Amino acid sequence: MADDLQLWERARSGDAEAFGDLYERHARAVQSYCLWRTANLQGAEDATATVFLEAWRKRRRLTLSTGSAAPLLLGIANNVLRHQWRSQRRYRETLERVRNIGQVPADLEAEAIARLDAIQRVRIGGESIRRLPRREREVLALFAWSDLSYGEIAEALGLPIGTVRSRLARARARLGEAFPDLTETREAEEVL
Amino acid sequence: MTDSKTDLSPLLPDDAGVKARRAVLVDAVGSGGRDSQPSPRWRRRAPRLAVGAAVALAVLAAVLVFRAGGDPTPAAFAVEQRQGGGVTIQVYNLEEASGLEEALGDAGIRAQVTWLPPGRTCDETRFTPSVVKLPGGGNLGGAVISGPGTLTISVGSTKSARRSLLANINLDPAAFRPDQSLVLYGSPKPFGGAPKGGFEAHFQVAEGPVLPCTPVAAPAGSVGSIPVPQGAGAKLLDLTPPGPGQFLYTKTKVLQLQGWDADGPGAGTKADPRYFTANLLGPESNALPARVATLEEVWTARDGTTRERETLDRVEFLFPADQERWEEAGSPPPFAYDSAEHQVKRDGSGRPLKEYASRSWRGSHEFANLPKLSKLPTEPQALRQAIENQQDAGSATDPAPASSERGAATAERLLEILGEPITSSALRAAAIGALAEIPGIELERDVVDGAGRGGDALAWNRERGFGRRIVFDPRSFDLLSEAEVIFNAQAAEYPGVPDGTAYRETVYLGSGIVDSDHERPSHAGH
Repeated sequence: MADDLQLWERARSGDAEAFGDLYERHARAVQSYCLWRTANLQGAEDATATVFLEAWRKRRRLTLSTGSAAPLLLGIANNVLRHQWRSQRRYRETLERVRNIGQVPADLEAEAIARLDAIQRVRIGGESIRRLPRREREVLALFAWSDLSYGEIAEALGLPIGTVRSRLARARARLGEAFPDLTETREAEEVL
Repeated sequence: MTDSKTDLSPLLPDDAGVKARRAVLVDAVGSGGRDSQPSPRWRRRAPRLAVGAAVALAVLAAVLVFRAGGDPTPAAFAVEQRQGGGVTIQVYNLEEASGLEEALGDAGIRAQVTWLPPGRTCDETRFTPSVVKLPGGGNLGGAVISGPGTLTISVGSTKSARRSLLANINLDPAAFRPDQSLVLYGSPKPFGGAPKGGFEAHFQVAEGPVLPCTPVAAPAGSVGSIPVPQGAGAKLLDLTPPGPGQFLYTKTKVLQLQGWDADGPGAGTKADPRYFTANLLGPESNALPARVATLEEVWTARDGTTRERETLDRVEFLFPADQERWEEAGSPPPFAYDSAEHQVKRDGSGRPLKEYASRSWRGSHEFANLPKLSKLPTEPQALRQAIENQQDAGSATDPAPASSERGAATAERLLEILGEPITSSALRAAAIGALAEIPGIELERDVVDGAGRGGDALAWNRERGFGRRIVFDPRSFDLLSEAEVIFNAQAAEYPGVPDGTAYRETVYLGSGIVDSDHERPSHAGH
């Protein structure tokens, strides 16, 4: 199976199917991240489609420097969320078509309860992070809600890794107990 | 407390939903983005109005060299935000000229970018050269930059921030007058024997209107324009490209002078200095000089596509104390082999390795020169005159000195013949003989190349303290190595580097025609 680097290079040369493969691989991670950031189902759905459309538009000048497209896509997600209205105006027709797809749940009742439950948790859970100043919020959101390593977060945001760490430290000081405790998952990367 | 492990899957599309959305997206992008609104980004183009009489290019000019060890990505260029504002544009070639114009325009620099086929250049009378005064001091006019790897353009304020040491060109939008713009053009070009070649870029600040590029033959130095001498063909050389399904295999060792900044950051964004960089060697730097050796294997198919394999060989500092300091720091790898930045594997003996597919610098024309090369004279004086006749209608019987413009151009062309992937020993002997006849080119007996092999050398000075040196086998006339040498470190602005140090040396270790892109000829060694 082609890896992200190969798919991205094919996409860069205009291969829409390779781009589709990347979408299948990363759409949920991007949407999940957008959902945490916005706590808004439709907003996250729109933002996700916009992220990929923006990635396609800018593909010729974007390169992957790690083996995964996730840092690149989540980096774009950050910009899209910052300028959501402006980015989405460009793609309104495609976004309309995506909105019309909707979901076809297998078990309506169980699905509805699970969805309500999850929405509730997203709304309450992300509250503290969403209140942080933007610079800290973006670093902490990627730290908490994506599987990116410190290096990949630095890549996604175009920051030195030291800045990622210092912003996390500031967010930790500001949030105290409310800081998402992901120490275990990041510990192994410290040796990098 | 935020529960970041919350399962959001009930809120996300299921497999069928993802596939349905994928179909919409693929349809939208595959149709050329039919619903995209016109791009709000202003693509700035230089006005295309008539320019007056030709103006001599008497502006600041310099010969620079790209940063070595660039990212092998086949992308044409990449834009990164610079810390504190501005952007850094890493240019791997100028193929995506309009995209690069747009990126420069977005950063505040009006530019006209042109990418030309090998052996072509733009007619320089199409614009009026100008000079930009930089707020931080100094002027920016124009330069010719060549090499493999990456051309780095930094765009942003140069007023307070220190200029980017990594960049080949620092541009400050605030310093450009409204009538000034940037003209950038280039073409693929062989470089220092690099099997993949490289490209040459001309950049120049212009004022007033800039006409579109009119491609003309490059004045000299391009193998693509090797003349076929009149009356040639009495004895044709047998030069055969790889057949269908076959590959030309070449193995070289490249020794590149780089500086290690012992106090520099080991990681960071690409725009920030790392431990190793060629550009940190200079008057403003405290970097410790080292020769970084890379083994490069290239399999080139008939259509110019390549498979490439690069292995980091040795990092040898010029001074033992520096070597110890580097080893004590944990022997951090050069940028091109930093696994935080690149896809780096390990070979059987644990050396860092990179593999990728690309294409040769001449693309599908890789072997197009063979018919021309087959017809070149194999007698030194006849070969030189064949080359010089094309440059100048008045044929010179005596060779022009290497220090003259014509002599230097002849020498470069002879070197390019020697660097051709497929030649004959008779043609190589003629090229070496013709070089040796040029006044100012010195023959040295019994020297060793970068792989420790014995041979004879030809060396000559060029400009700014730099020169050329080739080592060849005097029996077979095989080219063993060629190098760009710092003959005068002070003039070359590499203080602290001993005179005679190779800035970049390419050692030819073997070549041959093979039947697969994983096969090596039996004599190529390892």
